[in-house]
Formats: sequence, C-alpha cells, structure tokens
Amino acid sequence: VTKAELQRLADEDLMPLVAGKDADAFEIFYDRHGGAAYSLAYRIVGDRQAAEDVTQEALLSIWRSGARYDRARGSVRAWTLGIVRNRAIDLLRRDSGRAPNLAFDPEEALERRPAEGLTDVEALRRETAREVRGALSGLPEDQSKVIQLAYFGGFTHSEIARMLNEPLGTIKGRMRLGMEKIRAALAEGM
Amino acid sequence: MAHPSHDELTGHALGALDPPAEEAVSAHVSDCERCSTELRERINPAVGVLAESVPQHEPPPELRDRLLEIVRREAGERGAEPAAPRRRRRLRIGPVVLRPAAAGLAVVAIAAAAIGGYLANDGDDDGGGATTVPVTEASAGIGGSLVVAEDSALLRVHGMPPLPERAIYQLWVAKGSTVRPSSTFVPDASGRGTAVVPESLPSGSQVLVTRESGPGHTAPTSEPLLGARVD
Repeated sequence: VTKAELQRLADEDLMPLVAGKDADAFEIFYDRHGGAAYSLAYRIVGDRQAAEDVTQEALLSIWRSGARYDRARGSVRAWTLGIVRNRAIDLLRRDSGRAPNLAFDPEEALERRPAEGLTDVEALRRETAREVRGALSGLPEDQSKVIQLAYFGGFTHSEIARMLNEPLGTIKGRMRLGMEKIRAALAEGM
Repeated sequence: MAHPSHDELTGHALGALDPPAEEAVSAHVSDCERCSTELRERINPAVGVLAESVPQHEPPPELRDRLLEIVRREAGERGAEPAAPRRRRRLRIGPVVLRPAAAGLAVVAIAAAAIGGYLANDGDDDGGGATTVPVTEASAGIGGSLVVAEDSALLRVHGMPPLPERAIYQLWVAKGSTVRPSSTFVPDASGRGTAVVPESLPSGSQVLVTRESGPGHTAPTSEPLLGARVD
C-alpha cells in the first residue's frame, strides 16, 4: 500500500495497519494526532520535556502493544487522547510534588501553531477547540474547577472534596452539571 | 450492581472515581448495554472535547523524528525475524450474480437476508495458498483485489464510477446470515480506492461494496458493485 493510499484511509481503517506494524501507517497516524496528543500532554504536565516524554510513551504504547482500537467505543482521536491523558496523569501521580496546571486563561486560546498549511480538518478542530474553551469559560467557576481538577489534574471525587472542603455529593453534582452543560453546548453546535 | 448514577458515570468518564467505585462501575459498564450506550453517546463526546479544548502547540520536530526512527527500526526488526508458520487460507471467488430488484421493493429489503444471494460461488478454486484474490465485479471496467490477512483485509479497486457529493462506497461483511457495515472509501479522480476491513474474515465470509448516499447505513440500499468471497 502506498503512502498516498494510506493517506486516503479514514482513521478507523488506518489503525489495523498500525496494529500490524506498518511504519508508514504510524507516520500518518502521528501526523494526524501527534500535535493534539502533545498539546494535551503539555496542558496536563505543564512542562515541554515532560510533555514530549508522555507523548512518546503513549504513542509508542499504541505501536508496541498492537492495542486494538474498537470503533464502537468512539473515534480514534478520542481513544488516542484518552491514552495520552492517562499517561500524563500517571506522571503527575508519580511526581506528587507537581501541582496540577489549573490556569484557564481565555488568552490561551491564542494558538501557538502557525495557521498556514493547516488542513481543513485541522482548521475545523482548532475552531472547535476555541468554541469548547468558550463553553468551558462560560461555566460557573465551581463547576469548571471540579472538571479541570478531575480531567487535567487526575484528582478523584474524594480528593477534590477534601481539597475544596466541600461535601462529596456536592462535588459529584457539580461535575455532572458542568459536563451536562458542555454536552448541551455541543448539541447546539456550540 | 444496580445501574450507576449519572454522577458516577460522569465521574467514571472523567477518571474521577475512587478505586473501589471505579472497579465496580467499569465492571458494570462492560456488561450493561444501557450504561455503555449512555457513556458512548452522551458522556464521552463531552469528555472528548475537553481533550480537544486545550491550546494547540506545535510538537518539537525532534519528537516526530525520534518516534519514527524507533518505529521504523522496530518494524524492520520484525520484518527480519524468521517468518512464523503462516496459516494458509484457500480463497475462492465466485461471480457476482445481480438479481433484478423487485419493482416496488423497499430499499431495506436489499438487506441482510437477501444480500447473500448477490454472490454465488461457482466452485472455481485458485489452487490454494493465495492470500490475494481479484474481486468479482458487476460492472465492466471495475477491478481490484482483496488481500486477506489473519485479522484484517485490504481491498484495492480501480475503475470505480465517480460519486455524487457526500456519497461514499460502503463495504459490507457478510458472515453466515448476518451482514454488517464495515469501512467506507471514496475513490480518487482516476477511480482508484483502498479500504481496510478491520476484522478477521473466516471461510465463507463475503465482502461486498455498494454505493450509498453517505455513511451510517445499517443495511445496503443499492445492489453490490463488486464482491469477494473468502473460502
């Protein structure tokens, strides 16, 4: 299979080739998702070198384990970013002195990556990311904070309850309400 | 356990459950269609956009170089290993037999139960051992091959008619009496296309291609343009 043919494959059809140790297929997989993977890792660990390490570990785990992507569980993108997120959280937990990066500054919406040369798909993803950040920044602070502590900080319900000195049920409820608002924003096309 | 609450499912999706609760909810969700559907269709998409919401940074080029160097080296080492005994699969392809659709027949009637009839095996044998076979086509000018591996197959075709906007070619896998949608593809300007069937194709299974108005159909709505039978 030529690279040109591989590039025409949907993500879902590329992954069996990656699992079959096709290096060209992995290269295309990296070019599609490596930037998002690195960006998520950087958001969580807050350090460029650590973000590189996390991204490398996560993507190599996909390559080496022949991890089987199951399309019934969501998109390749979401599956990959879930693996990256878990690796990054593992790193945070190993290094317990590292404080979670909870800064949520709308100015961060300014993209670091140059816009030139973006594919339509990538440009759309950036636009979506901006819209999601807008939806997140519109959440009540108490809901936004518990979601960020959990997803980007790796803290559990109980840990967040102790940290914020709030009842456990309150934390669970805030998290659910916040996620429901994000889902509603998604459904309305942001 | 009883169905987890929405609070618990949300916590599970965000990785926020304490270990005992996480264990219980994970075990439940893996066996519960209702909860797994709730997660897949309502909660996980919202979690997914959290991951997408972060400011995008250009990864250092060295990361790409380093990863690809490792991957290519490991792919090469794997290729240099003595070949493991390979299960030999005998492939046999029969001609596509297109049945004229009954007038007034609802499109859904061209579905699982009927689609098996589109392919009829003529008993020819390729001599055994082959893993690449030509497809059989229903229209002149279409050709291609299906490469069958242990856990996936690759369909390469040429001569495919151009598609209207948003239409796609849909692959279907027929196993026994069931027909399920598989991957899709859109041919290039020269009519060539490639698609992976990301599953094992046991003896007797068939791969069919139909033209559809878009992805998401659960049953074919048109007659197959080509097909292949694994024997």
